[in-house]
Amino acid sequence: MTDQNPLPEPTEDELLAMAYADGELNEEARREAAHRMTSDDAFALRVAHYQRLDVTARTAAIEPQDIAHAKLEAEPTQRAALSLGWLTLTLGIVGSYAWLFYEMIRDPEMPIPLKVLTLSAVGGFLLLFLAVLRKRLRELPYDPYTKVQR
Amino acid sequence: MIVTTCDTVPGQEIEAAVGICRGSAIRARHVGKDILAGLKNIVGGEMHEYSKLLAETREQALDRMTEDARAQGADAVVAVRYASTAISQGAAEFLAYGTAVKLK
Repeated sequence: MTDQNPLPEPTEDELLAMAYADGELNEEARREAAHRMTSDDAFALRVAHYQRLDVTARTAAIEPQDIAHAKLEAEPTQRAALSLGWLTLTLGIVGSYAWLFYEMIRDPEMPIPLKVLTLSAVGGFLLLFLAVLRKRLRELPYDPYTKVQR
Repeated sequence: MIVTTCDTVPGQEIEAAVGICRGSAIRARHVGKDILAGLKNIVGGEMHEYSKLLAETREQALDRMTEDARAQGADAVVAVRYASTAISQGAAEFLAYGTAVKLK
């Protein structure tokens, strides 16, 4: 019986990305492909995709507890408990620190230079945190190891 | 690329040792996973958050080692070993190393 909907033939780019991810290119072709990734974002993403498939395939043995875990994760009660837990915890921690910070800045006995320095420290921390978070979010699609379970 | 913990590649002959190849990686989970893992300390059981962290780091180190061997023109890596340390709280470091060899 013939297949009515055969899979489309892979494009040249897909074949190249697969070969790169599988380490099947010779040294020169590999260097060229690596160089291309620096300027061709779509190609780099494609390589990351095939690397992710490769890593997941060699580490994806399912254990019985995975089934129970997946079922539990799908339960509305569990999801609600986790969501509500994270929300209240985050609100409590961030809110408390924000309140403390606000009270400290409002304190008339606190010297102005100290207020400025405190503001600077908090602002600096937030900026650094945002920069690190931005970097992580930017590199996340290229990280093939995020699907590894064990 | 053949990667083995044996000192030889069974069924094949080693022509030459190319050199040491190594790959290391350090990874961390986000603070939310650290909190959940901390709670797991109370109730017991596998810390999936950290099992996953170790597995991610191990695979990345292994891939980097293989890539290093490939860059040296090797056909296989023998005597592969892993080493693990904790560089900082909540982070895992893995070092994978072995001998890159050319096969006949």
